[in-house]
Amino acid sequence: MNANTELLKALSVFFEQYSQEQQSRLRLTLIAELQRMRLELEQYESSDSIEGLKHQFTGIARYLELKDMLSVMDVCEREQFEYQLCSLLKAVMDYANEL
Amino acid sequence: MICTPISYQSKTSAQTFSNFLKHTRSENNLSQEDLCSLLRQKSCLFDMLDSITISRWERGVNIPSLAKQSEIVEIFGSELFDIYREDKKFINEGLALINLFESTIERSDHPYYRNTPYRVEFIESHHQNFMTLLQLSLIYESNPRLSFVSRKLSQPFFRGLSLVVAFSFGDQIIGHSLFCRTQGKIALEFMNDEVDLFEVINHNSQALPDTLMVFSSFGVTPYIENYMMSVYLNELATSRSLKFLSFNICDESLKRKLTQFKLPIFKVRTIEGGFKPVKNYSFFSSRTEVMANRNLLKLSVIPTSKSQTIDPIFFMQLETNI
Amino acid sequence: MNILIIDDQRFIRETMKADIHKYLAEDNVEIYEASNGNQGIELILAVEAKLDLVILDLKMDQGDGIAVINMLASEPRFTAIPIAVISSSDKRTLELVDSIITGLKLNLLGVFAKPINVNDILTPLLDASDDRNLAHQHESIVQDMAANINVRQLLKNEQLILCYQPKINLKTKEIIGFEVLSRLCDQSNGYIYPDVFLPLVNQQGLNSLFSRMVISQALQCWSRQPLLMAFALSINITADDLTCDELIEYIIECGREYKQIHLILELTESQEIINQDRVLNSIARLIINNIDISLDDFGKSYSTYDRLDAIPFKEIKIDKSFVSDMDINHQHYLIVESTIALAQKMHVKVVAEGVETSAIELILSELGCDVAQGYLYSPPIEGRYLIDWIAQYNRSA
Repeated sequence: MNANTELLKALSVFFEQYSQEQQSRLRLTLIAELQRMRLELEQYESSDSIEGLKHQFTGIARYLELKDMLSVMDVCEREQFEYQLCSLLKAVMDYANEL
Repeated sequence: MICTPISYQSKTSAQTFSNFLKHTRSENNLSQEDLCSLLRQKSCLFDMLDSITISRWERGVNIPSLAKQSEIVEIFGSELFDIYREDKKFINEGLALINLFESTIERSDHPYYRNTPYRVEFIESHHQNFMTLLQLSLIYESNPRLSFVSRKLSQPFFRGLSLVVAFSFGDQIIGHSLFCRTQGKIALEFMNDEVDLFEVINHNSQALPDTLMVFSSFGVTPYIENYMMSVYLNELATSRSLKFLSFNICDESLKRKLTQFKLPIFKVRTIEGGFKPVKNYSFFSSRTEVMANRNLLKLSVIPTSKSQTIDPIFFMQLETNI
Repeated sequence: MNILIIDDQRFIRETMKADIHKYLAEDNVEIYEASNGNQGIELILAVEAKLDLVILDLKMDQGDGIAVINMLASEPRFTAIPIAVISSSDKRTLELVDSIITGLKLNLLGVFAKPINVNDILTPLLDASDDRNLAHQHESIVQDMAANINVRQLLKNEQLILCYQPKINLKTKEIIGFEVLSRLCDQSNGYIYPDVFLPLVNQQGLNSLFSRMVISQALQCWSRQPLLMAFALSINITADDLTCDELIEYIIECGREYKQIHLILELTESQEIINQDRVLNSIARLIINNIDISLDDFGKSYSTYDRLDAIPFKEIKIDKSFVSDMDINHQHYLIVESTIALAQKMHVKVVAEGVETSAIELILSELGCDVAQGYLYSPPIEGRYLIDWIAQYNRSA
């Protein structure tokens, strides 16, 4: 669960720069976004390009400063991407629950 | 904010040029025709000149612009500064920029200055208050390019720097100007951030300084502003070796004033790295451009001395020792 | 302050909003959002000129970030709106985008990689509005000055004074010529500079009269002082002037009369006119009569490379805005470097304007620039000072 701890740390660093009200709005938005992306990914055929989704994910990861995730983005295939996406989503939900 | 008094062309100063022409002709034994031929020969600006026009000029009619007068005057080895500073009427026009000439005005808008007589002094670098007064001027100007706190320089290093301060009754500081002589090349390097103030005032070259560089100029009223300006403009006028007048300032109101005086801006830069970004303005004009500018010419012919008392309301006596 | 954020990801938009509110109080700023290009365009049209900033994500899903840019470039009233482009793309793409948008003459604050530091956008924006104010101030000062100037009268009264700025061969340090810079002089204003009076000259259709006066005075100045014959005389001319047959005739006549004077005409580009046959015709006639053409303000015009094809220029002049800060502005350095390289390939002389310091002079020498002009050598000086100046320069060289 090391990776998860790292993610949680990064998330708290990110969120804590904002006021409570902003934090909750951003959290909800992030969760909604990641869920949307996951659903989209599920609906993709194996032949569909995931570059667009990867690009979107990269944008988010940059804001959250998730260095490890960013480093694999370039080369990861669909399965690994899905794994990253779900890890982040889980981490955000864990973070939300802990509050 | 009070408007800067700008003077408009007055008929009286037409006489200066007229007198010059008449005087020059008689000194050199020239008829109006002769003068006309001479001018056409020596200058490319007077191709269409005829003696009727010269006659008009001598009667004070249709006087050419200062820039053209300058061309003529310099053919005979003089400068506009020379001929206009002899003219009491022209000097009076200049005084209107410095004196209010209204005995009914007793108070100004300023919180502690009431248009009372003030004292203007050149503060030598060995003067006990030099550093304090210098620091105050620099703080006023807030030009990041002028900070040399880190250098911890002692007073002898500032010997090339002219600091002029105006004091009102009670030793309140109501104006200052800060300038030095340097070389044009170095002034340009300063404007391009290649050298700092220390190198500007202590330039080590063999050549004579040819540029008067102003770092700050201020007065609590526009009249005092004008007087402070007249100090360094007069220095420019009296030294023929000074070919350029340059400003490097951050003071917005001085920049506005210079622009109102029609002096063209040479460079504008934004300096980062301080508390907030600061706009830095450079001006770089030739001696000729300054002289052709009526308002600057007026201020330049007002004589200065090391220490002088100005009465801003009543007529200022001109007998001052330089 | 009104800000529009166009980004397809809601999380990014929300984060940016939150960041903006760190710097600007909520009541001071109104933030509009759009999730795609079309929505963005609709909002721009709705809010119109009241927008103080548009933050645009370039690589939106439908690739319509570019559509927004194109839309902004299409209408003059939008080109002033400050734009900040954000992207997750790599640095090279960002740089390319930067140059495209700048080429479209939009008000680009910068191209920023995600995650954005909103302060990086807001600071130049607040600065830029100062700059705009400054530009406005300058414009209104210029307009004020202009309002009091009767150009027609001044020209009629021959209140034209020419100044000359030397051009120096960078290898030999010799003076090779002078550029003519005109001033008008009037009673109260002292010198009036071209940025103030040229628009008036244009407005009142006095172009060819003005150019004629300049050429006439300059040639007189040169012919009166034989020592000056050794130096080329460069005179500014507009593409507009080149459509005036009389003026062309006059110039050719002058060229014949003053055969010994090496005359160069510096052409300030004018995009609309220059491709007209008439103009090319005039240029051809001038060249046949041994009058050289120099292309001025090189690099400032968007379609510069077009020109080089049609006209046999002898010389290119690099504008001072690129030269004067090329030691600290890398883009400008690259522009100057490539212009010099281009000129060398075309066997055309290249002149750098606006040289103020030895440091810049050195860089230009190293890049192989042929000629330099600028305050380092001399500001523009009146004709009567030329001989003395030349003597003094040669003494100290």
